Amino acid sequence: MAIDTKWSEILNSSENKGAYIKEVQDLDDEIGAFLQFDPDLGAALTTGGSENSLKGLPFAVKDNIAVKDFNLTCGSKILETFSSPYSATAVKRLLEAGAIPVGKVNLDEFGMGSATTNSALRKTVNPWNPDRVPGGSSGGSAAAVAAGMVPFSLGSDTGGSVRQPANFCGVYGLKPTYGAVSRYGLVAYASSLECIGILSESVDMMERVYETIKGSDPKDQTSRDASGEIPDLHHETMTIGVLESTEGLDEEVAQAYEEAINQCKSLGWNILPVTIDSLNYVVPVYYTIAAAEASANLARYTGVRYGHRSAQSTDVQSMTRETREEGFGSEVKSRIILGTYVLRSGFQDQYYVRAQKIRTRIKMDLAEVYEKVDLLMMPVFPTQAFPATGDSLTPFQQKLADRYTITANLAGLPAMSVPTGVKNGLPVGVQFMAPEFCETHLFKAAKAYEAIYRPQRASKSLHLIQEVR
Amino acid sequence: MDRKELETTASLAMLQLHEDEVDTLTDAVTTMLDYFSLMEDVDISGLAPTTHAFIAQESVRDDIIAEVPEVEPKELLSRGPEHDEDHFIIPNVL
Repeated sequence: MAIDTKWSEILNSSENKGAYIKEVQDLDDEIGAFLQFDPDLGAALTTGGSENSLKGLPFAVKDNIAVKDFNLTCGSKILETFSSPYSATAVKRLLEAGAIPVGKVNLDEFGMGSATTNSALRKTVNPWNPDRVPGGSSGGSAAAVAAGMVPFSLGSDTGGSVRQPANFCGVYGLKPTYGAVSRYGLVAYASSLECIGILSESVDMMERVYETIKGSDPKDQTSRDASGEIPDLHHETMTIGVLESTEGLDEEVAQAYEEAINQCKSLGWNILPVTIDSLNYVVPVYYTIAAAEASANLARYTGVRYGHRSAQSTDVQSMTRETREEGFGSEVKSRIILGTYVLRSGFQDQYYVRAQKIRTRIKMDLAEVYEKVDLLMMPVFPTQAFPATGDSLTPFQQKLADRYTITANLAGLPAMSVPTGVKNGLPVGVQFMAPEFCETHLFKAAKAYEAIYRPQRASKSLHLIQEVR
Repeated sequence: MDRKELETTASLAMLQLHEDEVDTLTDAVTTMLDYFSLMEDVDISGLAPTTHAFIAQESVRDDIIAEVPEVEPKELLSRGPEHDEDHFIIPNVL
């Protein structure tokens, strides 16, 4: 493939490699995608690569996924000095396929946010427009791909954290079926919701990476291989469910959704309008469950085993309390408090257990929809990439805006965001959502769409690799 | 949520709060809890709670060493804030 050849030319000659490193460093001074960029350290970890693998392809890794000897900061002061003693299973499988991790990329602290503005360590901007956010929480992963610094990257998606930044930066973003990719080596935030996902500049690249990293892993008890046969499409022609009503979308996003529906028709697909009543409840359900799980998972940061320890401490209690006070940012603290509250004796039934029961209803509603359609097509986020400053979207509004992405996480289903065009100088797109383990159907739809619209690279992107796909 | 409730909850979460962040956090948490009341509109009778996206069959294997850990305990210890050869070190508890 042209893109593989180009990358191998760049990384196999020391002169080209030097030019690559220099150009990425210069470009990243403006974009701020990387928290650590060290292609030589990454190249030393790569263990192999046979034919049809990913040999020689560079990739970036969200800094909440472990790569041996690289930092693992989670965008947090509490882990700023921590480096990982081992690699995540997904990373290991990429190393075995010959791919090269060139660095770790920025994120909202512990994956909590929609704009990468909650990173305690660096500001990342959107390569399409430096006044706009790259999305989040995998903002660095999206920006690095959109700027052509890597052909793909790993992110994590707990409530849309791969698909939304991919959408904001005009690249493809896949959240796989829950359990399809091992979570071993992904720093835990909300364990029942989160997945390691992929951001890429083409559907072909996405598919190759997914095929490499998927599959059960003895180190993650929730990881699974697809059981039995992947269901066939209902009809020879694909049937796409679209939302009968989409409230609260910005004009450009609403237009893009309508245009995508027309494109699907032009591809010969059937369109079936659907209503999913439980969509109105996904946001409170998601934030109840995610905060509860976060409060438990983040209890491990006590200043004993990892990273930062407060210098103020005189005893174990104060060491723990002060370390957490100094190390966590305000969004993380608010979610820990919220999660602790909804799990408190006396409030559990009102919040946490109720949310889990409504989660069951959401899954049932979706199962009913998939009896009639092969894929659902939904907006990704109600706005395009929003301004980094000002009051365009408050933190609470950003949470409400997650309604289209978090459904896939609550139900454990695979979903992929697909760029469909550019409006007002910023990318727009849609997402397709499939029944469990039907990633192949997502790739099929995305490829058909790719033949109609091939995403462009961002205005700020690497000259070395321009015009090659 | 009032200030006292916030402080109690933060204390349960082993989180020291400093004066200048209490008001912001109280507002943020209260906004979310108010919003959560939307869930009261849903009829949940007869629904079992979903604890995980999929309840896979129990994952079991033979009780033999399948893989030798790739990381030595010493290596793990060395990444903590304070340690000796065999332990993480914490302030005196007595």
